[in-house]
Amino acid sequence: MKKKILTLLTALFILFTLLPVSCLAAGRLSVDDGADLLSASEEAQLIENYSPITEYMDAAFVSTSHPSGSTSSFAERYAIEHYGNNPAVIFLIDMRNREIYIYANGAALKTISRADARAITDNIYKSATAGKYYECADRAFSQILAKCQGARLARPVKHITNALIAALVGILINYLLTVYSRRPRAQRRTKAVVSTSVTREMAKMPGIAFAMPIILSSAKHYKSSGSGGSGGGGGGGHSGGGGGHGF
Amino acid sequence: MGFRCVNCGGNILFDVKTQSMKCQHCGSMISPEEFEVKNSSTGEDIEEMGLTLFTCSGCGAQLQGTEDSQVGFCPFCGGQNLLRASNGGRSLPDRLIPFQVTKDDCAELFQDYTQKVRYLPKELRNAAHLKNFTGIYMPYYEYDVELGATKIVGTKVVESTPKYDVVNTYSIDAKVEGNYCGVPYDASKYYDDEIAARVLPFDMKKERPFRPAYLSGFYADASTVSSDTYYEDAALTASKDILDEVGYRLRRQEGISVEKESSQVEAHTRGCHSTMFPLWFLTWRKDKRVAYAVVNGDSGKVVTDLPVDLKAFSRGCLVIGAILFLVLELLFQPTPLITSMVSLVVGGLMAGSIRSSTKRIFERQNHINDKGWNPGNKASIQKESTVKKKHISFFGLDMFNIPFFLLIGLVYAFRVSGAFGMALTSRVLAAGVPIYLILSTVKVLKWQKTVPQRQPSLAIIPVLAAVAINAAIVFISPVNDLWYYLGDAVSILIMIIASFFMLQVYNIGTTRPLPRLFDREEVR
Repeated sequence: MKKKILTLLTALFILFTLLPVSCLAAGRLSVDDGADLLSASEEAQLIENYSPITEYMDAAFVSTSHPSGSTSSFAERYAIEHYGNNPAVIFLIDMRNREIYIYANGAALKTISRADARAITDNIYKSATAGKYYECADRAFSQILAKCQGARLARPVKHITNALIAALVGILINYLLTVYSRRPRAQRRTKAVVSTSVTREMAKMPGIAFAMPIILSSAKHYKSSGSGGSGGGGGGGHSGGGGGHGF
Repeated sequence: MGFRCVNCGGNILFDVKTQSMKCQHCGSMISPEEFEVKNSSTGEDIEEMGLTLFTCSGCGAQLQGTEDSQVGFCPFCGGQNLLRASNGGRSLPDRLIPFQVTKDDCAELFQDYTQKVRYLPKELRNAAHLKNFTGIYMPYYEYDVELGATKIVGTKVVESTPKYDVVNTYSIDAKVEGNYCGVPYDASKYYDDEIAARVLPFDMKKERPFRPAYLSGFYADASTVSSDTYYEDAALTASKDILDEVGYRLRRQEGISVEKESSQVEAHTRGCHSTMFPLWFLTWRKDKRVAYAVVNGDSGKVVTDLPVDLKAFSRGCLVIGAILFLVLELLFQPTPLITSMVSLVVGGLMAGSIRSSTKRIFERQNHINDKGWNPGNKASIQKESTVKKKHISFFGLDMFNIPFFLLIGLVYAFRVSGAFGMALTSRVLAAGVPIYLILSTVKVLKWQKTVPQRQPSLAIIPVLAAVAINAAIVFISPVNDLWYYLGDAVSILIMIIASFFMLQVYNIGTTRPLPRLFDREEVR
């Protein structure tokens, strides 16, 4: 009996050891390097360096060469499949679409917003372009960790771009408001007498008498049919989102 | 020398509030009719005695008035150069509507009307400047139109079920009794037809036989357009008005909706008489351009050109830009692609606005819609029937901009529905907006050939270049963000500079060329 139990435990140990990292329990940083971009030591190093992220949420490095659909839809499906609605952040390198993507799942979206995801991928895409995938992942997770710890992300171009957009759109809005404020409009009555506003009332309108209307034609005009009633409400949904960058 | 009080010999002027002649010295009052009778009994010619012809040495305008009128500015050019030329009393009308609105009321009405107008030049808000409103009687012709056979085609829903409506089409003969009298058109070549039409109506019940005494304290312009000029226009206006009236009555009495396209009203102009309508004129002048503010001296209706104060506008841009920047910083993480798309849409809107303003400059500079200036111009008659369509505008953008808004609307709908991805959305915009820009630029350059200003091309060509840069970036789609952001930044900076030319174009479009009236010929 003891032997059987020992054999079963050994089998379970081997099974769990050999299972793909994606099946690891929540609260872990996992590596699912399907595109084989990292060496074993780099994977270990990544897990060691960024395990503090797991204090806040699950995290995963995922790479793929054969995603089904777009990078963003692959990331979303991966998150639903592996984390359900649990908070998790996925850093994905999609070799087929040449895109890096960060997806925040469930409550993790509050910490890593879509804008944060875009900002991080904007900051690191050049490493991916240069083929330095470990460096790319390292920089991604370091910024994710910093964000979890309450730090602000570096957004070097955001301020300049927003300033330019604000200036341009501000001028346009101001211009449109200026033109709109000049539209011809009805005057409020003041102490001066404001008389009628149409030509025919001020001119001397002659008398008009009508003869009996003669029917020229009669036709049926069919109305276009409307659609039916509205549908019922749906169930609870999955929340998550992210942002990415080509490389 | 002006009109004199029969009691004390003091200056006597027409008093708007009491509608009588009031002596400025002894305060005695007398109606204009009685005043004339009393003066005639002394054997003096009241017209020769009272009226003086003034000439503006700045623009050549000629105005009749009394000596006491010489307190105002030339209403055509805004200059203070009105010189006494000779005794007046020429080309006087049959009838006249006396002023009902005082100068103080007029300034108040103007302030009320412009209260919510943004960035108005500060002179136009200045109470001292508003005292320069000058009372002027403008000559108009009132046409009498004889109406003949009127054949109306109309429709009525006689049965309605959830599936269909039964619609009857009717033919109705209408008998119009009497002439349609008093269709007004301005008789001064130098008084813009657009203002003349917009400042209507005047209450014909207040019309009186002309008495020179009414002009006391005001100016009067003389007829400089032949009365034949508006015969066709008057008939067309009368038939349109009758059709409106018939449509209104038939809808109310029989529930029949008139189909104006299929209906006919026979109308022939049979004659006209000359009259004068009271207007308060204020002229704002800058850089050889003038803007007119006109207040109907009977009803108080305000019609005004509204230029923009560039400095105040710039300050407003800074405030709005700063607020927008803070909002964007809080809520928006720009991507190169989104920035390019914003630039493309803004570029399209700018082009639409420049195009609309240039069209207005072209029309005003060449007096396209001013038949009084170009009596041979049949265009105004043809455009009369489409005048309502012509004025349909949205934020100063006209009908030509509809394809652009359709493009933006469709792209947005496809993007929201998920049919278009971000890349496809940006490419459709990058293809469509430059085409629209090229068409707009061609039109602007064509119109600009006939006007002296160069601002339209200075505004639209940089916008075209900026949009071309954006479109190129979207199609090339460089991986390196540097190129994207560099292109976007260059494009946006170009557009920011061009936007100030766009405002100048708008300003030119809202003002008018300084008049040169030295070739003036009076019609008797």
